[in-house]
Amino acid sequence: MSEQAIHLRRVCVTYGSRHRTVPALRDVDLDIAEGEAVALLGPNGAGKTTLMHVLLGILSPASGLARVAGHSPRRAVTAGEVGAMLQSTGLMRQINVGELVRLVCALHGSGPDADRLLNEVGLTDLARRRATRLSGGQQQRLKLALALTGQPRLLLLDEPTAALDPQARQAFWASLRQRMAGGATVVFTTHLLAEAQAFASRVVVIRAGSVIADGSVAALVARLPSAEVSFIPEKADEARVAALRSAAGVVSVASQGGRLILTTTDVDATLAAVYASGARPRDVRIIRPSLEDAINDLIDQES
Amino acid sequence: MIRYALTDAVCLIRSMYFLIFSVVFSAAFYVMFTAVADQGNGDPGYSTAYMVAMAVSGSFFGALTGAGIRLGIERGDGWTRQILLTPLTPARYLAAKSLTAWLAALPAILVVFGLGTALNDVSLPIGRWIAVAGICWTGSLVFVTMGILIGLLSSGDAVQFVALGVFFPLAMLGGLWFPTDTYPAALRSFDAVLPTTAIRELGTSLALHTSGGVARWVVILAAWALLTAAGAVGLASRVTRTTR
Repeated sequence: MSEQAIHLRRVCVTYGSRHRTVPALRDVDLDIAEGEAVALLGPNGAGKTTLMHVLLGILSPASGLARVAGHSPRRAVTAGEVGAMLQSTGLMRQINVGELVRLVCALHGSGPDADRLLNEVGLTDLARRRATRLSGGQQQRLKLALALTGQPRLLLLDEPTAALDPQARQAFWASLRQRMAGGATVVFTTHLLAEAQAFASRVVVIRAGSVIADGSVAALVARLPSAEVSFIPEKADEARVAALRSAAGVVSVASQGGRLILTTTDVDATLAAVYASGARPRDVRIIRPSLEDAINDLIDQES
Repeated sequence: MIRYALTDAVCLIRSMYFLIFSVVFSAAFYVMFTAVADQGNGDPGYSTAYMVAMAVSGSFFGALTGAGIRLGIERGDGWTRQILLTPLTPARYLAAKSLTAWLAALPAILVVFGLGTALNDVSLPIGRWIAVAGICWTGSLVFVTMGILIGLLSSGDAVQFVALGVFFPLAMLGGLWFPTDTYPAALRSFDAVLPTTAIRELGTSLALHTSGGVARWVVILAAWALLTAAGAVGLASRVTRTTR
């Protein structure tokens, strides 16, 4: 496998007929190095799943270049370089969980044994159950086992934790961290931004088929300069509020339910001003922008 | 590919739908129309000829279930997409499905032939048993290609209707269930070009040691096999599409 796990250049994908086409991806450029954990974020219909399908060779770009692990996407999959979980997949009928994992292990010809994988995803006790009779969350864990079969160097996961309970979600990310420690590259889509913030070293935001932001979580959040300082003042006369309004960094001051809310670009200076104002603040809260705020702001700007 | 086909065949055998419509129905029809209510009107070769016909009928449904119905359902369920995320290529997947379907054609042949011996004293030299079974099983390859074509044409619940829509007319007009000479002339005219008639005629003429236009039936079978295989190859790219 080359150093570049994913290399996309000016990739365009369109849906529809010759007479009426809908662009799904527009000139997407993306390079992901080995070992990165990248979250693909964006609203529904942004093109995240389409991008996953291109990376797996399920969809061919109308134009542009797509290379995965130094190969064409389809070849990378058949070479066992890629493991994937997709939203649009199901399970084989009339087969037990254990048989299914053993079958996929056999197709890979190598990789970890089925029992170890079942244990890793917590399905050992359900190995004899029909795969299609598992609950939604259990099926998702089984799909993770299938994705991990063959020890792929690149994992492409489309909303992998959608049906998982919090405990299973924790175990899921623990599994992936283990893979990452072994050098695997992980690319995942999610609408749970806390997961992206916790797991991804890099975030790629897609909107209407285009990449609108690409960077670390910290860098994306830093795009939003303002934070909120709020408190319940014991003394909040007009003069004090006016003084706070002109304090360093303060962008605006609002009052809500007895609290004063100051939007500021400089939390430290604003806090100093609040205490210096003599307003005698109680229950002081500082709310810094989250990844969700940053994404929403980006999407609003692009709109 | 072999491993996938064998696992798939085991799963298919667990399907009540396959067991009932391919094996149990063929066996029950054979027993009913030969041992329970003899419809042969004293024809000494009737139980042998009907044995071949029901073996072809069962193998037809087995191959259709193994290939077409299962392929269409797997495309609809999204299993096809899931398995193609492994090193199994679309071509190998379709080859495995074809092998599964061909294996699925065998149980009905064996069960009905066993019943012919056990209940109706059908007796053939061992070499001829093997040859007749071989004709029925080799002939069922046309049902395999037909099944793959159906599984690529339709998916989800629709595939069962399409498969049954092919199975019933071809089985009935091909004289697998009832002798075609009892049909009106308009219906009877179809049987001369059907693959079901061809396999039945080839098997029966060998089992009863009669001559019956072998070359013509072989040409008809080959034509059906080529046409359906060409159709399946033409639609093979659909295997990566899913209805989910």
